[in-house]
Amino acid sequence: MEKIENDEVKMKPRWQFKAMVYGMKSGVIIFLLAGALSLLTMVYLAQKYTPLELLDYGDVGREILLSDFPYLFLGGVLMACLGAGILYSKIGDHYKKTTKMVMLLVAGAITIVSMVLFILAKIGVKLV
Amino acid sequence: MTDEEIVRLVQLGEKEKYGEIVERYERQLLIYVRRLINQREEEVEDLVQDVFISAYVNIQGFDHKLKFSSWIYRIAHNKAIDYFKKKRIKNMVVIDEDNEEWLVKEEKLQEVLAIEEESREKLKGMIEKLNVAYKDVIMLYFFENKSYEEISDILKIPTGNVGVNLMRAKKQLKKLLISNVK
Repeated sequence: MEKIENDEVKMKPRWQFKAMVYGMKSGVIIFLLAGALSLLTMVYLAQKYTPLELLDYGDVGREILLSDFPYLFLGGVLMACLGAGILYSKIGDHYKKTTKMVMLLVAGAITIVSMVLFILAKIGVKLV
Repeated sequence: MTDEEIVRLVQLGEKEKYGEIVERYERQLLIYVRRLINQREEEVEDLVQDVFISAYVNIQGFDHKLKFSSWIYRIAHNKAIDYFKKKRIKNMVVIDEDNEEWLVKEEKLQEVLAIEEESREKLKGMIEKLNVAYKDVIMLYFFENKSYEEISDILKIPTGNVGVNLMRAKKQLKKLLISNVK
């Protein structure tokens, strides 16, 4: 108590904790957006190049499909899920939720954000 | 006044009120930290002092949705882990055999485990052999009388996991005791 009374030890200001929480919430939003954009890119590529038609060409077609698969964007979706999940469980009392529940919430959020962005793009809203 | 009301006053600038928090929690934390780190009394007292200082420094970050006791136990738990890492010692639990409190808690744990008379003597040693996650829940539930909700807040794990870990801890303890008796 002496150190506290003599001001040798000081409280961290409230704004630091608020900033940390807002930072984490922003991080979750950024991860969700990144995940949604990665997912939309995969959907766009699937629509443009119709890769499933390659399976009609047997083993050769399958090999081409596997080599041209957009692994980078799939990785982006998975990393976004992981990043959003980790940050989300650190905010407030979300640690009480099981890992399965957190991942479901994050995957659901990415899907919803993707659908919203898709609809906005379809109705002609310029996002970039 | 509740702990949370005192904390609110401290957060508003009445730092002298923090002395009440120290008075209320000093003894409990000394016992808890002593069990966790198993070191000389000076080291235990130093660590508990660090806990109170850390709690004061971060008091503006205390979420009033939580119980204050869970929050300060969380700080004590983290400080003990940092201590192990710094000193590079294994996470040990010490059971003070002469402590009356231990005897009362031991009986409670024995009843729950429904173990044979000859196994009871070995209980103390067996707790130390448990997996760290199981040891934490056993200590907090049986020795610190924390509820599942409080343990969840202290260890930052889902409430469901507390129950599962406790059940597994009891099973593992019973297994260790039975194999030891044989």
